[in-house]
Amino acid sequence: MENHSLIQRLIARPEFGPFVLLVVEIAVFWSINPDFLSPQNISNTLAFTVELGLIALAMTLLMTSGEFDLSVGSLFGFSPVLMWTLFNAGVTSLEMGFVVALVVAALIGLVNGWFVTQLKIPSFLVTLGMLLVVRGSALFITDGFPQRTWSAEGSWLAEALVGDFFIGPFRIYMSLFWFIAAAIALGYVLTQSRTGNWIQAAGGNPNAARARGVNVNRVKVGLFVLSSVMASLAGVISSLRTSAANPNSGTGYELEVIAMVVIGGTALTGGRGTIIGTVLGILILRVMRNGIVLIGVPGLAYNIFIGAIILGMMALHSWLERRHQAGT
Amino acid sequence: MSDSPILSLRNTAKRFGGTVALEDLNLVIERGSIHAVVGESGAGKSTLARMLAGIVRPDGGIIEFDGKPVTIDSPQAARKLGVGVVLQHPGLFMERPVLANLFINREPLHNGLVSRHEMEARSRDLLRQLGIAIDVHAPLHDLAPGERQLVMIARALLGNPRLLILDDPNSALDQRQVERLVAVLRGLRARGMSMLYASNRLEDTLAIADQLTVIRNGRDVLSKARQDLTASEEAMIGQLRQSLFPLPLRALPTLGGALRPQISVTGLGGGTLSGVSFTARTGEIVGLAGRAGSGIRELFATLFGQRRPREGKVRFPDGDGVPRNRTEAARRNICMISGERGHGLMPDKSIAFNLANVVVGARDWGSRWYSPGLAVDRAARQIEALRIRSTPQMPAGSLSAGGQQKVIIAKWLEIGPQVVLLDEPARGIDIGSKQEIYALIRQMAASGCVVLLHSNELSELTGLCDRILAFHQGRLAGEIAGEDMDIGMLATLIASGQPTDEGLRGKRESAA
Amino acid sequence: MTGIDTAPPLAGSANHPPRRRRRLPAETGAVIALAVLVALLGWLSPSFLKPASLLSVLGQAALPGLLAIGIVFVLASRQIDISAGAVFHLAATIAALLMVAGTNPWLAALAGVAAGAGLGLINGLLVIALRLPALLVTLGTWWMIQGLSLVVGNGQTIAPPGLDGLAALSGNMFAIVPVTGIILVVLAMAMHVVLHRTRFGYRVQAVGSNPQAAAHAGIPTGNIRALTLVLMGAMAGLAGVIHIGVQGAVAPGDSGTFAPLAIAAAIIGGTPLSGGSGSVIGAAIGMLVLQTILSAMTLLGVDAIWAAFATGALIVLALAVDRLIRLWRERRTGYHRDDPLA
Repeated sequence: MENHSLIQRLIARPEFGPFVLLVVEIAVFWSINPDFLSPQNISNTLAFTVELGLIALAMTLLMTSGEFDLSVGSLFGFSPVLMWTLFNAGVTSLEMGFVVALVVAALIGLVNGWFVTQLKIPSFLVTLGMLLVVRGSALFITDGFPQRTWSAEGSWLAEALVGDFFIGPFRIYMSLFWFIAAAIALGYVLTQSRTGNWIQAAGGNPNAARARGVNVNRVKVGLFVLSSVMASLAGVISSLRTSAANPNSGTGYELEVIAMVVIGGTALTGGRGTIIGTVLGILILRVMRNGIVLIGVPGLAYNIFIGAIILGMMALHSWLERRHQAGT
Repeated sequence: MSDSPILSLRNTAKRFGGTVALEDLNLVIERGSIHAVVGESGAGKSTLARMLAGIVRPDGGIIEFDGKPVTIDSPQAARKLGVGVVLQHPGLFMERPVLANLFINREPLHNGLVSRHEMEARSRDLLRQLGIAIDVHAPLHDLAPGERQLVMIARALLGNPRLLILDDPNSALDQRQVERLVAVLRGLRARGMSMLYASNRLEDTLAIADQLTVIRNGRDVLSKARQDLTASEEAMIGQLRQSLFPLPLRALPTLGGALRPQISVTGLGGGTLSGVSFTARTGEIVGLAGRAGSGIRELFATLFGQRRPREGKVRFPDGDGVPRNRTEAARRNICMISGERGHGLMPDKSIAFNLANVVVGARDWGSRWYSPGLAVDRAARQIEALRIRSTPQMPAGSLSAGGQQKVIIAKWLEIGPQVVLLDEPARGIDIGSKQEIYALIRQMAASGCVVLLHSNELSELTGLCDRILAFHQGRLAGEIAGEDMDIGMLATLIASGQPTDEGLRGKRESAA
Repeated sequence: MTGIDTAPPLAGSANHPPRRRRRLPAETGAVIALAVLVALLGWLSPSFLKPASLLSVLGQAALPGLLAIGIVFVLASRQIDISAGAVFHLAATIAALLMVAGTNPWLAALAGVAAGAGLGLINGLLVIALRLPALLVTLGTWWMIQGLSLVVGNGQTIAPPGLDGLAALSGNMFAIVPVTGIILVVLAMAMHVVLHRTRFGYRVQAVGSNPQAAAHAGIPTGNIRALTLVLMGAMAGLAGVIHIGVQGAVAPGDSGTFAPLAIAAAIIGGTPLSGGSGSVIGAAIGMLVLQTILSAMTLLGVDAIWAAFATGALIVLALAVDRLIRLWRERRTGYHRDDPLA
């Protein structure tokens, strides 16, 4: 085999496209409005980005195994609501409420996983139904009203999750470090561990994986649990940071997260996943959202752009796949 | 070394729905020997392999490994016993690198993380022995089919099995790779590994086997040591019985020879094909013989509109050239019938529905309405004519393999195709139905279709065709007809591209 | 030892002639469910059985029911369209805006339906051109159409004045039969005939059953798939227009649960997710089942808050039951099929 130069190998990587897209995007927005790269804007954007990003990381692994989870948005809203309700009613401390919320999320993930692996119902539809169930539960607990959230300043939980400090002019939240840690950890799992191979095998050719002894069902259930727990964690972080708990928050996040993962280069049909790509995808979408508001395009138009990018990226991947197949 | 056999099967049986795959199968594999299982397609060899791999469970019978009765109910169970399997259609992870494919779920770990270093080290020697020089980090779909098959064999070997099962391992390999593989297998046998080698090619198995079992229709019909085989038995095994094939047609008058519709291919090239030219007329069955990589699949794909040719011209009986896609091909009454019935049948729809596929579904003339009543009548007519054992309302998937193929052929008979491309049409079908399908093929030719038939069972070609075109690595290596249709020469032609003695002599030496 | 010459009895063929079994029509489950539900509710609250209240359920089921009818064709061709709800909303918005601008209500209605069909056509063309499955294409167009809706409608509720004849849609014919209900019944019957007795319907089922085989036989699979999406769009557009007539206005967020409800209704009614067949009448009955449950909850005093929860739970249950029945059936015939989403 010929030795490809470093540059050639970089270009061949699936993450290269998204990287270029991100750079172009930033350049375009910055040239229209230099405020775009101001420390304040970056800090603000980053704050929320990492919350969605946590969900996207888990979703990357899940989609690599060939499944979707559409209930993450409703879990994002439900978990903090559950936590605060328990706290406000004096039932538990904030920390215990947090643990309870995570456990409940894990259980929901288990249910999702069970329906998908045992009843063999497409994950897309199971989690769609679960989305409504969880959202409904959130509304029920709160009667539709946002919950009171005392400022959680004193709580060590809040400090650990969303304590903020300044590095130069940038305002950084602790959640950024959690996000980076999760990205590194999950990245390693996906590419360097046997579990990561299981995940990719389960998504690429589940029958062959089973024939080799991979417990595809267990892997998928585990990933559903991971996805739910991450969504729950992200919701709690967001709620602590903004001191708010609204049962309707998180609406629509699931599709945005899927978009992030797809744009980053993970195949929608599974078998191949990239955490680096997802990180790029997260940035691309959030930058887009932030950018178009900053340059004055109606924020409502965000969805149109997202939809177009999603279609474009999917078509591109599909075209590349087919070219690759034809070349064999 | 103890004398007891490493594996013994008694009265093994397996059914799939309405089809019996194995019935009363008995097999004994001696320790440290290579046991060949020979049988035509559909005889049950693959079911046997998958059973020993733990992918399907037998419905009856006893399996003894190392003298003790065992139940192989999962791939892990098979692995624990020390059984390694290379299936006919191995589970491939196409986008993953070769290393991942080799070690999936058996990766060596270093501090909890997969150790690429060790994987490379362990696989290097083995891959060199098998004669593959590839970049182990390249994705599997970059490799040629032959190399892929060798990688799958390597994967099984990496597990250090005590009993290695190979289901048709040669199908994608060229002559040189086959010789390499034989050498490796012999080496493993010397080190005490036992092997089960399933194939439908007699010459391959005779070269390597210590023992031989012939399977027909799910039963063992002959089990002997290789050296005990008589010449007549050898001859018998290799061929399907002549009585299967319908009598040849009376020679059609050559007066109208020039006016008989024909398909003419000139200088066709694309993919592995190059410079292919031939003609085929209605009324004759033209056979296409060649191994994997010979280009026949690509030829069919081109004629059916699935591939664009790089060069050359084709002229169909209707006067036009190569179709642009499948839909256009089918609408021009060019049909493709393959042994893989997935492309011709809608298993959950009724037989009546299936039979209306072409005549109602795919034609724009005629009524815009679909009448189930008429469809049922049509189906009843075809069921009777083709002796399909079912009723019009039954789902087509409930038929046996033979019945399904008959339905696929019948739906085209309704409309009368101009060109029929047959790709191993009788694969996996029981003998009785095979006979009826051969008769149908003859009938198609006689009723004015151009019939091109490809099969890997050479006796099928010699029994059914009027002449045979032999392909080798994308070129037309030769054409034989009439009394010249000898299986031996045909085999040589497709293996080496030459009909000469050199090829034969080389083979005899390596078999010694 | 058996000699090689004697052929053993045909071991490889089906050894018994198949028993002639009458297959239950696909709609059976839905009909039974409906009957049981109505009986149960009638027992719990006898006022439910009054013709007026029964028929009002029919009327309410009409809008999502139209979507369910459209989605039967999409499912039958082994596709999924998740943009249906967004199409419904955009078509309604367009029609409403036109009426606000002074267009004749009937023309505006026609424009709404046409818009729906046009959006469906875009979906279809993208499926063909990008060669992506409809699930993925409609994932993208769902976003775009929703965004377009927000931009066009500016996120506001639009209440067009002077609806004239369209307002009749909110009323009743024959004093108690809601007009919308009649529309549902008529369309359900018409579309049922289209699916089972026309060549188009045959082709839709063929493409859904085995797209490879359909292509091999000469059926233009791409065109068929696109046409089902156009039909879906038209139905969604029609539903949107009727929505204006019934509610008098179109507000953002009006269509959240319609798409999954429609899919669940179709599945309850006997249309399998894996394609190849479908029942339009079954989908309509399935929607009646779902609507009955939802109406019953308000009747029994259950909080409206539960609506989302209930819808979700119903969908999951419907899917589970459908899958279990299919698994049971497969075990009897002994063969499996590919799932489009698996």
